Amino acid sequence: MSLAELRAEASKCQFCGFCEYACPTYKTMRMRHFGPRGRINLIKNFDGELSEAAYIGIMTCLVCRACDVQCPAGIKIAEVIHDFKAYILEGKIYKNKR
Amino acid sequence: MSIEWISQLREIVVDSLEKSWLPFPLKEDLCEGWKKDLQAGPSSTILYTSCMYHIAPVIEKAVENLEKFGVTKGGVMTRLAAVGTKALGGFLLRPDEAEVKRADGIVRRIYELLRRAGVEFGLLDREIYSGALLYELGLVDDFARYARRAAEYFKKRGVRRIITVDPHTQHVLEKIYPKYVEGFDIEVVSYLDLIKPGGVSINGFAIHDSCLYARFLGKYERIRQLLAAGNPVEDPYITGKDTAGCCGGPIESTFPGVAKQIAKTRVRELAKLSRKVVVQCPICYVNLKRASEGEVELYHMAEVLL
Ligand code: SF4
Ligand code: SF4
Repeated sequence: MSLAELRAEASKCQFCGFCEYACPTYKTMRMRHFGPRGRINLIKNFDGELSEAAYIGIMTCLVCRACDVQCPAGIKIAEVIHDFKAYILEGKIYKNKR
Repeated sequence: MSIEWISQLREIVVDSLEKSWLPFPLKEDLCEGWKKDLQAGPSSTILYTSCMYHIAPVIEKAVENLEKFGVTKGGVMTRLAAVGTKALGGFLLRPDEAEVKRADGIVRRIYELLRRAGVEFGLLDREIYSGALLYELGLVDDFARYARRAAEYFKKRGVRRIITVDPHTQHVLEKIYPKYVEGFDIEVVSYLDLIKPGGVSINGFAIHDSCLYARFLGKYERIRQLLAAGNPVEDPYITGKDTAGCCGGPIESTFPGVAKQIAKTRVRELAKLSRKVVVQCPICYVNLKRASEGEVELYHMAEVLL
């Protein structure tokens, strides 16, 4: 997905938090940016910069899909986070290499 | 971990794949020993390990070290070199001999289960890695380049059908290769769908599902069917298809500390059901083992199927 598509998908979030129920990183770390709701909203509000904490939150997603089925808005949460990781790495790693 | 960390890890993986078709500096024949005396015969169907069972213990050892000492000034390379052995032009990572033997045993067992079920297949002259790690880390461009090379490798050998032995390889070949490799039309099947075991050697264990098998590849029910004779202990949340927890494996090489905490959470959950846990993935196996500290005994699925 392109960044615009990722943002559009993330914008469907209604902040209900149902997705946090089964998220292994949220269960373990107990901080919102380590859970699907936090990650999705970081992506929704992304303006080109990520704080260190936000970066760690995104990068620690396991892409395990335990959140997807819980989401009443039908957001493909795991896929959105995976593709956002790829977007971040694309900017930070590849641009310097080419 | 910082971007520098991922950047260095990327360099190691891309460079190793370029030189040896394996994602880390490893002995070239590490994933070949299990084939000794087995019938390799030419066939358009191959049993393909992607070296996963042999690489997993290497990652375990490297991660342990990374976790203990963190990144040094010299970065990931220096840290890995410290656990490797010196070799011409660099270093080689070496898993413990016992782990290599166990990996050999598991893959040979899968070979036997398939032969016994009457499946016809050959073996590759040399195992190569699938590239799954690059995709999972989010290094999509590198993955795409490598996947095209690997697809060519299969094509040159006349491969039309691949039998996989782990969830990461099944997922990346079945779902991701067709998106990135034009014209990729090799059929990809899991050994789980082909074997006909005659029972299970242990009883009353808990099943730790691979997220990929359960939620991406639709194998949750099939795994239960195969293990039913061993009366697994189930729980609607802990071993439920939608809610079963991940082992932490996908971030073990980037955030080993967080990965270990997640694995500990998972071990605690599983231990509530049984002290015996059956896994289906070599990455789950090493992650849970690292966190378990003897709290649970881990078995690989192929080791308990009769
Ligand atoms: S895919 Fe990521 S956000 Fe969703 S449950 Fe798994 S770790 Fe949590
Ligand atoms: S379940 Fe879906 S809509 Fe609700 S907070 Fe999570 S991502 Fe947003």
